[in-house]
Amino acid sequence: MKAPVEAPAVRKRSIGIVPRLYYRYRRIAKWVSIFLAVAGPGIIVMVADNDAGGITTYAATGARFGYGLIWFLVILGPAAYYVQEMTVRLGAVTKRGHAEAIFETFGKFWGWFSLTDLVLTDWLTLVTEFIGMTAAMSIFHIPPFATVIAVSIVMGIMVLQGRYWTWEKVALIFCGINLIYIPGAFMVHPSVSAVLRGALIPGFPGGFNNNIFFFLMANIGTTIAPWMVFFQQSAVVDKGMDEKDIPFGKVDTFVGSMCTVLVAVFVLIVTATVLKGVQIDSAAQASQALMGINKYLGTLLAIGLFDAGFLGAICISLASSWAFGEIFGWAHSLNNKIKDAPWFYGSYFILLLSAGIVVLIPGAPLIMITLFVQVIAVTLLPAALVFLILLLNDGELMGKYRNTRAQNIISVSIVVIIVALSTLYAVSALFPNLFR
Amino acid sequence: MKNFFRPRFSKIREINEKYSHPRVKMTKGVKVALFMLRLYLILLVGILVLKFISMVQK
Repeated sequence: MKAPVEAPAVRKRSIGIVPRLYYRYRRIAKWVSIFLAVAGPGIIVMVADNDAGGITTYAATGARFGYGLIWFLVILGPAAYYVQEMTVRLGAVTKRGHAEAIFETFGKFWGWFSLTDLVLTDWLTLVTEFIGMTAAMSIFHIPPFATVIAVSIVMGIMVLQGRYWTWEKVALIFCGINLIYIPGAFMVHPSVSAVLRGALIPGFPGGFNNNIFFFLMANIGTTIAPWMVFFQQSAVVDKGMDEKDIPFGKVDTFVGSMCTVLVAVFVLIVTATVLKGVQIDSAAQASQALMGINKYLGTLLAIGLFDAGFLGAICISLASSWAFGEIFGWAHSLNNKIKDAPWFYGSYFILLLSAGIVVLIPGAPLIMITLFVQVIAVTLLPAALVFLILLLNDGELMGKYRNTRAQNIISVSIVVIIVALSTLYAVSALFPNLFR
Repeated sequence: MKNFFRPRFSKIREINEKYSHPRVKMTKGVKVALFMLRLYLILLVGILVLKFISMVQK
């Protein structure tokens, strides 16, 4: 009985502070190296969430309300994290994408509904990404057709090289470029105390009215989107993440949500400082306005807008192709060569090129498309979120990784608020005079 | 044309058969959630139809 008690004490005395620090360093270094290997889907999906439409929304919010709504963007970060974290667990445990999980669990009616709605929303959103990218490049006098062709070629090379790992690392580089707004905000020398006041003290500049309500809903709509749920779960599966990777996947998603909030806040700071009171209809218009004030700042914003559209496009087009592959039983991994997965890559290019061509059609109803994106995305969002929570509560499917009571309270509250606000947003987008 | 579409439709039939029965246990909570979702979608489709009619009338 005595020996086992004494042995650890002897061992403890024999290990000095230097070896102990060394082992602690080794443990941290090992953790970091595993994290770097697992990290990717969470950061990519969260940063890609700040797509062309998102950047426009943040720029317009800053120009309209100054720093007054920074606190709201800060709150949206954890909400996006809680939704996306569930997809990590679901993907890692079931090894299935979201579309397949819905088909299998809820049957063909809800399955076809989700797949059709996802593809339609993705395609329309893809068109808006091309609108953003061509507008950003037109600032540098690059014609839209050249932008569409160049983007399609780069995106084609990214997926056809035949390795998920390479695709992910290239996407992460584009995520890094998205942080370009941070130095941009420092260039305009904002008032730090005013920024902190806007971030820490909740309030509604000018009072709570229809205009501010519309902007709040637009910010929610750009922060949590249906394609994100489908994309991250499929990416987790394609990457081959396992139950043991879930903690790292959660950290990955958390880091991504912090990045998305940072970018959103810094875009808002730029326009709130320099373009306060100017009506912003698109991020390209904001870039052009900034060109007149500071050439370098306008250039940074235009590059950021192009990057945002590009990131959105690479994720959204893949979300649909993964979903098709899961349901139709095609090979659907980025690790497959084109000859092994022709339908997967074929659907990817059909979506991509058709969306690009629409932007090039003279007189295409681009404003109508942007409006429809908002409305149709709203029809899928509640369905995707409700299915997500029901799947996460399926004990047979999730085992010990099912939602706890606390997780359910948080996620159900988020879903109820999002569904209520996004419905009002859709109604106000369709009938703009209804709330005035 | 017929030869091209036939295997596609047979694939859809195959998917419909494969997923004809939902695997989820239809507890009270699941039933309520799916019912609310149907109501929500009917409401939204109604709003879209209303918008379409108002656009046509203009």
